[in-house]
Amino acid sequence: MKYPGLVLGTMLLAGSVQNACAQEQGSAATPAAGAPDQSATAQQVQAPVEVIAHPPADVAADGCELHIWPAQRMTSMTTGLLGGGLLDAAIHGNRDATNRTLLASALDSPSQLDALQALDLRTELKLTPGTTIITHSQPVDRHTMNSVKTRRGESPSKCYSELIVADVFYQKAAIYGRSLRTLFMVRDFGAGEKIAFEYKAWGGNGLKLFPPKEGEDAVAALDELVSVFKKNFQEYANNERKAPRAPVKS
Amino acid sequence: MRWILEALAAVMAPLHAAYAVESTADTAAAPCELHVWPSGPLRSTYYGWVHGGIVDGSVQGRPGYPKLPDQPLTTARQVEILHSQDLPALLGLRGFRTVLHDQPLESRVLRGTVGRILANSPPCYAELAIDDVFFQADVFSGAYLKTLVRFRRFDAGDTPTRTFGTIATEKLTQFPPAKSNADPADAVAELSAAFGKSLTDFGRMLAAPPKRKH
Repeated sequence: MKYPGLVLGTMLLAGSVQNACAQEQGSAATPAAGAPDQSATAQQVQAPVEVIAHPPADVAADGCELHIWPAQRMTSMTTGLLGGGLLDAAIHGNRDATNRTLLASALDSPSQLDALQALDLRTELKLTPGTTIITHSQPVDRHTMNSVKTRRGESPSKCYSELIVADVFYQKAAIYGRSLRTLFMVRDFGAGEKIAFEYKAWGGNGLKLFPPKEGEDAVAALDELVSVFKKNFQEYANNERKAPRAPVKS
Repeated sequence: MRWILEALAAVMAPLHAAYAVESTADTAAAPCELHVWPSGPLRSTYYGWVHGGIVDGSVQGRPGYPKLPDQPLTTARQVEILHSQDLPALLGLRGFRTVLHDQPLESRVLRGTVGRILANSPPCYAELAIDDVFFQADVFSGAYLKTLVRFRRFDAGDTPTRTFGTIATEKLTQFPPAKSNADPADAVAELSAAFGKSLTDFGRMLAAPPKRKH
């Protein structure tokens, strides 16, 4: 088994070290599937990259793995009675910029991963009870999300699947009100290297507290983002369980 | 020669100790403690005409995102700025002594701890934590330093008697430098000053009476 302990795959690689290694390998070095854009200079990446295995608590691990990656892209769109467009974007630009920052803080990578793990993922996604959940702290590069068709986790597991949080999107519309939408993608590879099943869809629910007003207590509004993020996943998973297991066209 | 060195050591030792005491305690006999934590390094959000939306795109040096000077607001720099401020006065905590931690709290600890973060803290105890510091820029509103700060006060019990967290906003006009090869000193100084002002603004917002719920 590739992950024989509770925290086997913990890798603490300072970004600068990672960058230095890439440079040492020269131009022949190719980025791993889903790795961050190597053209980025990574001048200030200090966050450690953590890959942590979470075996099931109550039953023996059966060799199945679910790898999870958090979202990298956060967007906010406020539309007024103009119904969108450049003028609307300019009018609400300041508010949307602050919303993006609040989303990025409240739903940082550890918070997304913790929120998902607080749910019964094995049941939500109809996985075996013995599935080991493996969390990746570094998000998948958004631009590689659809183009990479192979396993992103370096695992030989015979029962391998992935859950990727692709987008976090706050929307305020004049008629429909405020909501948080989240794009999730599950890929099941089974024992192979090709995608056997893929389901990508949005989950979305309304918000009552977010965004907080300037200068007021924001804690409850930030907590609401996390709880609605969880609800979004449950909504997504409910649809994912019902989706036909049709083969994916390559 | 040896007696000169011994004399120098005798003079320097109490000076060093005094600095250490001063950095953690303004009044040694004060029973109340304000524990302060910095955040991790600067983060970023950006939304431009062509690129945008990727969190930390600028601090990672992604193409199409504003280029930032190297490590413009580290945890260590935050600690220096926090140390330079009279935080109990800013927060209206008369008689509190400040204990400044040099490492940030994990976000899950900061946000998920229901009671006191420090179990062995004195009965009269308060927490001030910088949750995140962001360079925020977009094509419409310009560049800002956004500082998320959380405060909790405990009076004897394990349930906070006051909690407050909000985002402080400071406009940036020089940061980041317009040209990547320009001397970043002024821009970085502006960022540090903005961080210091965020603390003042946070104290003002903490002291303000709560507004009507929306």
